[in-house]
Amino acid sequence: MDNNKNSNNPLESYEYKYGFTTDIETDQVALGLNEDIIRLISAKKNEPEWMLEYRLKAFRHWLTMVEPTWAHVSYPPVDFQAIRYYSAPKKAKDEADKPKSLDDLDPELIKTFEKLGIPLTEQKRISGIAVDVVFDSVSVGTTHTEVLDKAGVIFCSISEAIHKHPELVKKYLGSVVPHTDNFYAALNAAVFTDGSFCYIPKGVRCPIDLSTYFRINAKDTGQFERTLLVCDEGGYVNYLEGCTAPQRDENQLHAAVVELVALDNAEIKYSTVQNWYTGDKEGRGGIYNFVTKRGKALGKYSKISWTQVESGSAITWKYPSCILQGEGSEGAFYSVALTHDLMQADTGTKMIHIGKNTKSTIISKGISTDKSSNAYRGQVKILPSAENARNYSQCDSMLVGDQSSAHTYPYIEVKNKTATIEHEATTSRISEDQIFYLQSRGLDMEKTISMLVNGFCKEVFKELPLEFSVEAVKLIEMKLENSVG
Amino acid sequence: MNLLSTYDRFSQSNPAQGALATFRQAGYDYALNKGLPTRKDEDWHYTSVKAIGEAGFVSSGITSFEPSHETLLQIKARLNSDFTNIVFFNGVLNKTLSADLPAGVVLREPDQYPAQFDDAFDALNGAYLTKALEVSIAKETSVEKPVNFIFFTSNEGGTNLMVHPRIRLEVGARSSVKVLESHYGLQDTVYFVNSVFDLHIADSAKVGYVRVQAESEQAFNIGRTRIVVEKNANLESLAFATGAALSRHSLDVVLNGPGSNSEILGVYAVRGSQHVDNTSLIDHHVGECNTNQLYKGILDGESKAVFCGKVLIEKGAQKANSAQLNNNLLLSTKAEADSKPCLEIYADDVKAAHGSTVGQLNREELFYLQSRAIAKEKAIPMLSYGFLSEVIYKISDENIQTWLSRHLDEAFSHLSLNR
Repeated sequence: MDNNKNSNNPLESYEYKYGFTTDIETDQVALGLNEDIIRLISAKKNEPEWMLEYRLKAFRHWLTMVEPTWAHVSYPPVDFQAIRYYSAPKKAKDEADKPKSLDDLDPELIKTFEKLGIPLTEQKRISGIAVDVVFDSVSVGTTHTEVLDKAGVIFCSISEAIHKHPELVKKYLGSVVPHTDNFYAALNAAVFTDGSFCYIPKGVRCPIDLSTYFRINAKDTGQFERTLLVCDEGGYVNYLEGCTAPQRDENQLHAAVVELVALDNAEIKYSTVQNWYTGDKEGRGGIYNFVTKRGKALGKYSKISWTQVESGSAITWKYPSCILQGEGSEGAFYSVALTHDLMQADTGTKMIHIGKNTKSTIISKGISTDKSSNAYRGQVKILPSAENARNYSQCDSMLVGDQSSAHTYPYIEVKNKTATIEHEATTSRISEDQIFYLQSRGLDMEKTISMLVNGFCKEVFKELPLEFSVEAVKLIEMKLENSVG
Repeated sequence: MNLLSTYDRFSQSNPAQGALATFRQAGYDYALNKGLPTRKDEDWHYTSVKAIGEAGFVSSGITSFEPSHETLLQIKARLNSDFTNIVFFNGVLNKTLSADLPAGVVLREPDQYPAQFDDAFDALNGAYLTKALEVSIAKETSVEKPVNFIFFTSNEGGTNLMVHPRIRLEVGARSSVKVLESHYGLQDTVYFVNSVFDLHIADSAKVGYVRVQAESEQAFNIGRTRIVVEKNANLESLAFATGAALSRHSLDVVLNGPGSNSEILGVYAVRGSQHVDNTSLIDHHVGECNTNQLYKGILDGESKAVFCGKVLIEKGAQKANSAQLNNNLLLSTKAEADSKPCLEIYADDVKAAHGSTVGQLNREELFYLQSRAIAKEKAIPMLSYGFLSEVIYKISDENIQTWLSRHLDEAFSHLSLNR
């Protein structure tokens, strides 16, 4: 395996510095998907009967569905039988063998995450964020468990939650994204192997930020993780998600489902910096990121906010949504999507207003460079019951290079006259006047563009937690270095 | 397809030869093959045309009849002396009611038909075509009086009639003309108008195009207007809709030469259970064109309005400048507005913006009027009228402005005010 890509070829690492693979012994199932594989996955995870039933139900439903084709992306058909649905580092293959302390983890694994800038070992955990790390199909460790235990916060891998907190999982799993929701959600429900689970009890403000870090490593695997986050009455949590994958010539599938539930007065902030491998300049390889993310603001005055920086993946198909059911609930979506080379992104949100006095805000910034295509697709739906609903959407696109394309597809459906809906979108390239101004002040082209793009995205970056905000700015700068000039 | 069941009877009673026969057959084949669009088609997501397929319409080519005396009076009341009126009754040109064409305008039957269809309705129009019209305006001709192609549909004959008018208008280089396409129902009955209007605007010509749809409130009106705008040409278009149970106007504007300016407007006012759909595609095929689109509508009762506007800026269409805005005013709790303004952009040096709003009357404005002793029942129409007339006053011809305002008055007199 090409372990040293990072250091050997400075140019390549410059493009995607997380493109290395980790040589680690893995426990894998055979390629392909059928009921036996699902039974095997379930058995490997030592799951209770109801979980297996749930998976099989989803799988049978999935068989009746066809892949969606409405998104503005094109790719060769995915062969779902050529994917490995389970791959786990050997040491963590089942619950009983799971290392007692994170220090017992395979040193290769620890090294990998150090390279990625995610310290797993106790002595290095200074960042003040509790991390659940998912490597290929399984969660390999969760940090800061004591602090969380003290506050009563449950934060663990979803496999662990299925065993330890079946009542919570049963109650909420699939309550926001049912297995019948869409093609990839059904697939995920059938084969999800791990993910994070989080429960914030009543009135608890989670003392530290929570985070999940996803890493696809093994060849031919798909990653199908499932995150379930429940914030009980009056709770608050700030949740971060990051992801990377090695550089490979084949496309890999990532079909995750994230479900958020906010009860009365609860607030969930969910931020993602998505940096999956994008494929090379010719569009070979890269991750197909087909993700279903949805939050249900179930309780009165609950709040859910999605912030995302989408800078990776060959194809992104992702619409983090909010169902605003509780009276006075609020939903927000802040997004920066940067595409370069031959990347394709079709991303946006859905805001479904059901309750009275519900409010939603959508700020989306798309930057499209090289030959990439970047689409915003969003829906704002005001149901007859949503008295005095309010929505404000703003979607701006910036084009860099005459081969790039940008699209905006908003769907606005209003069934209540008391609603006030505003949608605005603009598309333009970087203003020549602004470039001239900055250059006349002695900045070079690269700095100029990076500064202007940063300004363009500021509204979204300021919604990110500090560490992420810094990372996002750096990430965008790094990506732009190669694209403009 | 149900709508094709009378095709054999139609083609026997209206035999055709040559290009028309081929065109009809092609339309029949296409419509049969495609079927009516369903809500699963992205372009028809918010509008279901199932009712049209099920109403058992019979082509006007089979059951033609002369207008009765009352009908004639009704028709004459609609004819505006400010315009050159070209009158169609149940899809057929009525020479006695029509005025003479101004100099430089030639009307004839086409010898060529388009090679393809945009959708099943376009094809149905072709299948049931009795006589298409081709109007050409010579180059460097300025036609002062607006020309109004005015379509009256009447169900006096007793059957559920469908009519399929098709007009192609060719405007020569450096000419200027204002054309109106208006549709009226003469009785409050069920019928189906499926019109196609092709407009070609040559270099540096200046064209105003207004389509008025004031059908009976049980009728169906599906219309398609295709406009090709050449170099340095000027277009001012307005789609006005207040009638029909279900209406849809598909507008395709292709900017085929640089330097053109297009103002694309729309006004709709619906009530009861009316459904109005305005779908448009503004295709910047070449660069350096300006388009400005503004569609405004008010919705009362349980009505539903759909706006799907797509602006496409093709590869290489640099320096395109496009703006698009859709504003909806909901007057009743049960009305529904669906708006889908889309941008598809494949060139970088462009300016494109769109916006969409849905809301109700501003409470403060209402309060202001009420505090000036204007009753709520009067204040609501007054404000709604002001909201819509902004669009009408963008039309440069004053006679057309007045004419449109009169249509708007008519629509407002029907609005329910018992809120």
